[in-house]
Amino acid sequence: MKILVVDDFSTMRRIIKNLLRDLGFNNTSEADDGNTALPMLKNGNFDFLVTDWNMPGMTGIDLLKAVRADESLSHIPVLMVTAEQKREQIIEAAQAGVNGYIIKPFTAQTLKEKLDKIFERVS
Amino acid sequence: MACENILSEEALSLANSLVESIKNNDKEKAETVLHQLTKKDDNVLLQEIGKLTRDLHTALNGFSLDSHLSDLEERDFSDARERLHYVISLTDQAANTTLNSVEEAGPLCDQMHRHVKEIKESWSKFLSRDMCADEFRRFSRQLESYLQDWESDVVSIKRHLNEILMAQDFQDLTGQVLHRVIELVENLETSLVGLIKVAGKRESTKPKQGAEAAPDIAASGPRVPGVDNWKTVSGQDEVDDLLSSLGF
Repeated sequence: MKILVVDDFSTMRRIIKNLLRDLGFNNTSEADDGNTALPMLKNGNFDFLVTDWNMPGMTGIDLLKAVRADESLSHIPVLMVTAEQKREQIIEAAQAGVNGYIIKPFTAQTLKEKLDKIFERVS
Repeated sequence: MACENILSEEALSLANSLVESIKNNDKEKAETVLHQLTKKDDNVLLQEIGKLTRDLHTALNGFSLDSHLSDLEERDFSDARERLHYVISLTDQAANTTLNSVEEAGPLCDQMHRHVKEIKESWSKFLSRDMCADEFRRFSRQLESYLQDWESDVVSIKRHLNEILMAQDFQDLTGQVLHRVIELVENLETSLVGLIKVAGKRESTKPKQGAEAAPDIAASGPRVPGVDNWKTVSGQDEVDDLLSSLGF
């Protein structure tokens, strides 16, 4: 399982990578915004995408839309981990095809639950 | 400018007649001449004040046209203050969570280290056949109890490490809040530079397009309690409810 973690703050990327490692996912890569993430996704055979929303350059919601619009990427499950917590934003993400939505600050337990749920649905 | 006028011919003749009237002890005439002289000066002063007033008026007009400044209200500054206070409280929280975990995990490590040393000593005694049956029974009981302790202590230490890891999310959350404060400071800087231009060169600035009202889905970072009034969900549970109502 190859996972791409996208967040503009390196500390948050490290937190998520550490949590993923604890859950048994060792093959993770990082990107700091949508513009960096998109080419990596296109060339990297990623199986899963974890992304923040609020990033300079390309935001997470635009990345999600770009992934869903690209035939070769549209199958990748996307989990959003973000401090954005307006109802309109969550609805927007849902309509754009997000598979899970976690608001910061979050717990290791929440991350595990959402991942389990997504894998359960995808398989 | 006032000096030039006073030194003009007319002023000179007025001054001469003032001296003359004083010499002649003609108080009435001296007062009249003096009045004429100072009146001239008053006019110059009034003209200068008038000019300054017009400049100020132009400057203020340009000032109010600059939408950057009209966007910056007192509220923005108290917001910035609140945001910075929020940053202090988040960093304080993170530091305390981290220190608490370190203070709890540290003694567990020390205790494990002590016990491992004890067992090591006994074990080498056992290997060199230097242990009587009673000692061995004691050693065996001790080992069993330590093994149980270690099993739970390692789980505790890992839990503390996880808490330390999660506490680092403050950097992301405060970073997003600080970015907004920096934005405000930059706006203020732009406005002040604009004001200096307007006041200095008396150039009227074209009104700039005000920032568009943020659409509902624009990213705005973490909601700062007491500052951001936009409606947010109350927590992860509400997100889950919302998503499941949308068929997730």
